[in-house]
Amino acid sequence: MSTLDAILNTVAALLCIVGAFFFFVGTVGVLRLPDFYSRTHAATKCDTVGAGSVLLGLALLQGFDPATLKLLLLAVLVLISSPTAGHALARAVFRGGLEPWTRPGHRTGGGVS
Amino acid sequence: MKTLRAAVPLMLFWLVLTASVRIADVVMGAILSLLLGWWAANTLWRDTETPTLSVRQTWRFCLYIPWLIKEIVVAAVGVAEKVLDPAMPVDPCVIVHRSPLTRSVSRVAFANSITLTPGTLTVDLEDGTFTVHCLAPDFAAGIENGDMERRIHRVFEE
Repeated sequence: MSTLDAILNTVAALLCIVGAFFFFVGTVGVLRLPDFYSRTHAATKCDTVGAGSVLLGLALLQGFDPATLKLLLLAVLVLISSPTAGHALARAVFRGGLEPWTRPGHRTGGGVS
Repeated sequence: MKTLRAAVPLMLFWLVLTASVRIADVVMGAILSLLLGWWAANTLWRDTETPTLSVRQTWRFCLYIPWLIKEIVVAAVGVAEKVLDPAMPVDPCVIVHRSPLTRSVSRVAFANSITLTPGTLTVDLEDGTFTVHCLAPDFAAGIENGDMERRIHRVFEE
């Protein structure tokens, strides 16, 4: 194995570990966060970063190959579908009238810009 | 024309997925892409124009992606810190942001960029008014200072 291969494999492994870490954070977030909206944050966002870096790592590991293109296409698909699904979920609940949880003593609404 | 606009990307997608240039595969792909493209042109896009981007806009969009990825990674680390902190210092708030973006493609891009960035989630979008749920007030800063919006504007509306 050449040095280049070793470097590529290391980077790919690191990307996969980083991805697994963000999946873990997403799961912990779903369990710990206080309400529907903040859990939607955890479920959709940390997974985007997690899936993105795992797929990127696998693409590096695969090298030049049609399968690499497929992996990158999957990453693009996740980047488009994940926010769309998250928005659809949140919008349905928002229009259904669920008030977001806020820290006691803080008011919602904030500034209009 | 609309049929072709839908069929060409589908054909490219087919070529990537099959990774083969055998006559039978390519012909099959062409037939399926044209059928699906015809279907899309007559149902999904029957009453609307297909979204179009000029070459320059496409190029600027490609430059926008790396910046967005950087923002996503920075924000993801911020969310991870808050979620893993035993005290869990989240302080959710909802902000309403009126945007001067006028094209629907740029509004969609802006809404999806907001949702894609960890810590912010577009919960509603109506006529350029974005309702955004933030995990903590510091995540709202990136939207309210208009940086992302200016970049989207430069990509799609100049």
